[in-house]
Amino acid sequence: MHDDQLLAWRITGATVRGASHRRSDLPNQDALAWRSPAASGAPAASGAPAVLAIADGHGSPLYIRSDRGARIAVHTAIALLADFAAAHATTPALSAVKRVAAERLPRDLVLTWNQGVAADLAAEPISEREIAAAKIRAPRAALDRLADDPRLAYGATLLAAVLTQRYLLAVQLGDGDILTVNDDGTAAHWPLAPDPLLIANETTSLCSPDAWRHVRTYLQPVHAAAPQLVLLATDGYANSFVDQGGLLQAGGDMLTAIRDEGLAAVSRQLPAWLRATSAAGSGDDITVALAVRAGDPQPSAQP
Amino acid sequence: MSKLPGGALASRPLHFVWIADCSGSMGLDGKIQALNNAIREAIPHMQQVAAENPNAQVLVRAVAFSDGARWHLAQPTPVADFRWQDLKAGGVTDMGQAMKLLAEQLQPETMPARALPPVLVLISDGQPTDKFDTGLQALMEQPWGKKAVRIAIAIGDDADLNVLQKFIGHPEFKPLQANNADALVRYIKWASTEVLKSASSPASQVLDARESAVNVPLPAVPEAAPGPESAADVW
Repeated sequence: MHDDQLLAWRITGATVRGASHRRSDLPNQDALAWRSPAASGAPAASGAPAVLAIADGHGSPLYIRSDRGARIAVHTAIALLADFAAAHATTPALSAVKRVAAERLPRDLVLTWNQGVAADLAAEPISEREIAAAKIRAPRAALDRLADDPRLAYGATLLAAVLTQRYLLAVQLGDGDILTVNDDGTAAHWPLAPDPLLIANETTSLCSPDAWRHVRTYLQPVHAAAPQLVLLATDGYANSFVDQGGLLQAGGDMLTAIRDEGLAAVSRQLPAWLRATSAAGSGDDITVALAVRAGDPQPSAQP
Repeated sequence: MSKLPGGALASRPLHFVWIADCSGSMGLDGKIQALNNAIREAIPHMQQVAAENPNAQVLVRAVAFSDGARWHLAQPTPVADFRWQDLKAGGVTDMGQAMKLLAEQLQPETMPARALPPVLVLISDGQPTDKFDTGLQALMEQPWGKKAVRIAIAIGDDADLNVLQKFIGHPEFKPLQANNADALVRYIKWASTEVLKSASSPASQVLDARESAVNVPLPAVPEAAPGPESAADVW
């Protein structure tokens, strides 16, 4: 990237209730949030950071408020990552930024999420009606655990990214995927490859013991070229494809669609795409957040 | 764009494995035929449950053990195509060999990461005659073995409940005791419908490293069978 060329991002995303959740009359337990330069009052090309976050609330019967937990997670991540970017806008050494991100962000994210959950519980304690509903599907031992630690009800994963002029920073706790797509449409997991231990619907979580230890961070300096597209997706998306290649192809296809039809058109179509993908694939809720470089040739619509 | 973004889509595979004791004692009092009948009776119910959840692709297999262990149905078979070939009784109870056979097929190389937790249903009327613990250890060393939903059905009073409990690996869930053909039908149907339904859901939960962790909410076990019509019904 040249010094006189600002790196700016446009963001869109969608979250849809999974086909399986519709059949079971369960809510969408995913959540999505972003803060784009335009949303914060700055023009897209101002060079202000962009922040995006998604979360996947656990679907097992114990996690009776996981949709709330997911919403608390994305709003926590957006606020903390925006503050982080602002606080380190002038920190000279990226190595220092990287170190602080790795050392502080995991603890801050988990602490702040726990505070958000505690506030929600204080405002509305778990009711007998909620417990009665959980009893239908949850094992007795699980309900005992919930009685001991009500914040388990809010369990969720978290994936987030902050995209600045100098670096791209990814944060991940639990399953899901973060992809980057290059100018030629090739996609790769960036930078946090899927954890092979997270199989059979099990994941690390914001409500895990010592959850901060499971938070992975990755900071990539922006040198000659930044990716054209960053894609965050909950695991319902990858699980819908026959193999990982199908997910990577989705990254390239999204970039092509944005170039051909514009971001506004993709924003409009994205929910339908994700619903159809869930129906023919995993059946799970699916959430996708996209950040595309504003300099990329495309119609100028904002989400 | 007319085509959905991404590669080919597919429902998530769910491997369902019957693990059947075919030792000589299963030939007594009509037990093996009762097992054959019970599984055959459960098939349409199993197919219906699978049809109600198109986002899980249920694939059925079966292991038979007596003198050694072998795949009775080796090919993972879509439940819509599943037909049951009768098992025959004869030989000893090499249950440990069955565990090893399963372990070989539950390796990460043969199970896609996107699979749903497998369901393993062990049915036995006796005590292992080989090194069961070694076989179970091999199974539990596989991540998919550890994550599997493991159900055990004891046929008659001679079944080794301690061994079946070890297989289940969770103190809250006990082997199902089938003392007559009706009870066996009821438990086989429960495993192949209610448990299958729970395992078909994409419901996620927190990773638990304990072997006793249950990653699928097990439905309530059916009531114990009413008393047999006559003493001859009791195994």
